[in-house]
Amino acid sequence: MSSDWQAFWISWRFDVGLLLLVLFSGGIYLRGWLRLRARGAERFGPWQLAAMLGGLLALFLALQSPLEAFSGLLLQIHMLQHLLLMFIAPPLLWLAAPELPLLVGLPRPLRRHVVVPLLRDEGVRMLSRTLTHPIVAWLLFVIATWAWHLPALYTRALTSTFWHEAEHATFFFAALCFWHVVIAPYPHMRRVNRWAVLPFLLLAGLQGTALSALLTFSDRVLYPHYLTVPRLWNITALDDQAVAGALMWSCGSLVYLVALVLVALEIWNAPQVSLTGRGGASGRLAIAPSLATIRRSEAAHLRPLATTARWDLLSVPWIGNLLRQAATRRALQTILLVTAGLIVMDGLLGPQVSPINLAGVLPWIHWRGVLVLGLLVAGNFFCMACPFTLPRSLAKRLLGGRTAWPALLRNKWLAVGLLVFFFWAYEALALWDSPWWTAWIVVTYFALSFVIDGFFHGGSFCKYVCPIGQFQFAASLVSPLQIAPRDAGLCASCTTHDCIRGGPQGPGCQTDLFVPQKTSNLDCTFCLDCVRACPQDNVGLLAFLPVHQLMPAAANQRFWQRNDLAALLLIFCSAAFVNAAWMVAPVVAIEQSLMQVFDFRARPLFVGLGILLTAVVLPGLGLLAVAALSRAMGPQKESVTTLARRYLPALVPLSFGLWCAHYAFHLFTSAGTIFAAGNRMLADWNLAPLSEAAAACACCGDVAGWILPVEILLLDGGLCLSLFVAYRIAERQTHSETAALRAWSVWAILLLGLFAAAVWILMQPMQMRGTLVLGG
Amino acid sequence: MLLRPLSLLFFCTSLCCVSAVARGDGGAVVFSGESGPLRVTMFVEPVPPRVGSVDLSLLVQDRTSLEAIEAYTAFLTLSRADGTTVEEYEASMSRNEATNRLFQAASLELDFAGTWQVTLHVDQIEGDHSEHTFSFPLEVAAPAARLWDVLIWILLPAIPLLLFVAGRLRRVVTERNR
Repeated sequence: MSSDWQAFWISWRFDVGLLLLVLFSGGIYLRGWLRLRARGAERFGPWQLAAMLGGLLALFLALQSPLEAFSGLLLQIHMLQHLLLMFIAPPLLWLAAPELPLLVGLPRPLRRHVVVPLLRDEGVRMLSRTLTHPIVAWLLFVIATWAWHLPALYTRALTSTFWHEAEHATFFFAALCFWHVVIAPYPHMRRVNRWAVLPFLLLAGLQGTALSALLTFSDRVLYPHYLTVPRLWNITALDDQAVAGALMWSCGSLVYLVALVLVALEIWNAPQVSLTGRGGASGRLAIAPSLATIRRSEAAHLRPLATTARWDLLSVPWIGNLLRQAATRRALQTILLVTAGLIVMDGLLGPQVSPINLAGVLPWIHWRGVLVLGLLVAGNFFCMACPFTLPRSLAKRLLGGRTAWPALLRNKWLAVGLLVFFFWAYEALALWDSPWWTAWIVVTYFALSFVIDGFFHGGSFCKYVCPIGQFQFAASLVSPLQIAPRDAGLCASCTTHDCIRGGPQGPGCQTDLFVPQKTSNLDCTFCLDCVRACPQDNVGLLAFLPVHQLMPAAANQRFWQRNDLAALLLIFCSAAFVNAAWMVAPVVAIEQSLMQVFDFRARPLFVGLGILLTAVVLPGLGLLAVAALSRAMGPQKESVTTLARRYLPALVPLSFGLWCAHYAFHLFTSAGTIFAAGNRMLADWNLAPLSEAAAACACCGDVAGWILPVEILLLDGGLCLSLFVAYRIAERQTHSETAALRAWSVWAILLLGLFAAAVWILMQPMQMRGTLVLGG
Repeated sequence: MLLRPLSLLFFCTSLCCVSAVARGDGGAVVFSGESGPLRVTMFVEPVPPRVGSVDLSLLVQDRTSLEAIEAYTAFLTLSRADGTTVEEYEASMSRNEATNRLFQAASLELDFAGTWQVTLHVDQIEGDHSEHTFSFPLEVAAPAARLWDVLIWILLPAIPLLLFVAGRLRRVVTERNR
């Protein structure tokens, strides 16, 4: 074998993304196929499985085999690649009848809460109907084939990876639509008479023959790219083109022919329409059973699906048992208490250089990042592990703890004020750059929680004072996990209400939440006292759709009209933008120029005015203006302020997306600083030598290319959820589709504008806070 | 039908997402030359090369038989002078860097736009052990706006949004026709 051929056979690519796609698709199909087989669905036999695996293999070979590496050098190899993508992989995939196995193979929460609602969406269904319409599918297939074979586009695809992949995606997509019409995979109704498929295939074959002939019999090289590349195996560019055309002709025609024969056989073997009998009383036509009838009959033979209960984290064998133990919470709190102690010690006694001080990196880089990502994928687990509440029992024993929290302060106003104060302090005192201030904030927090929890009943500090807690409560409205009763019926017959009052098994809820009436994560610290207190073991940590809590249908209407709650959500949303924007260069430049123009000497005062204006006043006025516009667009009875409060929850997912993107950026770019700060602290105590390698972690490095796409994906998710919640609110507020769409359009424009602003912020050069500036 | 769009969406969205991150060596020919028994062809990607990461791939063939030669080492020097400063990068080419194993490739981070002078040294390991040097200019364009790198991610919500709006509009039309 020549060296050229040896090189050919080892020129494989292994893109992790594509490999995972193929493996996941195959895995999900196999799981669904096995489950359907177990339920007795005989339609899914070994042939379907083989077709699916064959289709995925063809896809993998087309995109990852040496065909890909050599496609830029030889047209015939490129043609083979296209044939796999258009004539082999798509028909095999449809022959596997993949829809039902893929759906059944998906994890149940994903299927139930994401995929099925998506598939039920009118727009998705309309699009799919359009794409698989015979005329549309045929035109897509033919246009894709001819357009990409135009010399300008073909050459573009050969010299650019992006356009090459776009070409492949177009071919594959168009071929999927085309072969869907031909195969009409189970369980679809056949929309076209099978006789019509014959000319459908014949006409496609004719245009393919025309293109093949053009390539085969041309007396000049159509794609100049192949004239510039080195020739392999002594094949001239013109011969190469002729062979490519012949391949297209022979392989394409063969596949069309096989399809034609199979369709013809199917028509031949189909049950014939017949009269019910010459002497039939009705004289009506009796036809073969319809597909719907067949499906109903098959469905009757399937065994029932599993139970419909929500997924419960506390039911997961090992984790559930661990979380239920009060000792687990105390252990987590103790770990964080020790960490807080180290932060205070290093903040007060260590060097005041943030990137090498634990008080400079742990709270502002690691804690914040882990916190938001935890809220995103699970729930408010930081409150569960909060070290500030660990000495609560001791405080109550020492100070009494029986006084009721003042009625005047039984709302969120104090906490909202403290939250605004916290954001002001963060910017004005540059907390991320001041280990000393950070340490004092931790100490003050401990002292405040100790005194308040010591004097007052229950968890008054958590519910009415703690600004960090309020942030978590607002963010956890988008979290997927929520404390809820497993069986609402059982709660209805409960007379002891141990989940709120406490009982022999443990104390009740410290923030006075009654589980059967709880509709959101607001004020829930995930302490799991209610879980332990319930004698029926009827409280779980259940999975819900991320926006379930914000849906007006599920939420308490009066509850969402509280002004203090609206203020909390407004600050949560506006601060996401203000906090992120204040770390990008253009905004910092504006701040400096404004301070010069107005001759401001005291930055804290300037920052205070800035925070009040940008996080409180302007967002509030903007919200009212949009509510007024929405009221004018779609008739809604309520006042402008009521409407503003009503729609405010719709802004939460997008804002939370920005919080996640912002804090995840710091975590992903500066996670290594913990090694620099830890090593420095250990070296100070003579427990380790000072390591240069560890110190290098404190310096800002290159931002990895994947971080920005991940940040934008987080925003994408937030935007979609926000738009969805806004529409549901609009739908509830109005009484017709037209009015709902009009009312929603105003909020949609606002959300798109906020999304654009968030993307702009993330794309600006960021201050690498918490790291040493190289060469500085 | 509920299931109709599932696999269509599944395969195509996944393929589009994967396509957006996939890349490989190759690109366009920027130089082709002959020296002694060798014929060399240099490819560059992206096309046109821009400030940032640039892949250079090299194919060495026998001048007469056009059979690919594998027993050689290749070394690249890229230099650029703008009157006051001189920038220079050096890189060894390697077969492991290339997807197509007929090639040797090197990846470089170029910091400036303009004309760079590329000097390629090829040493044959077998045969006459001869050394060959090739030199050619390489035009490097200014970096593309960062927006283009992430545009696909920014526009991703447009797909569900358009589908959603189309579905609602259809309902509106139905409502009006009633």
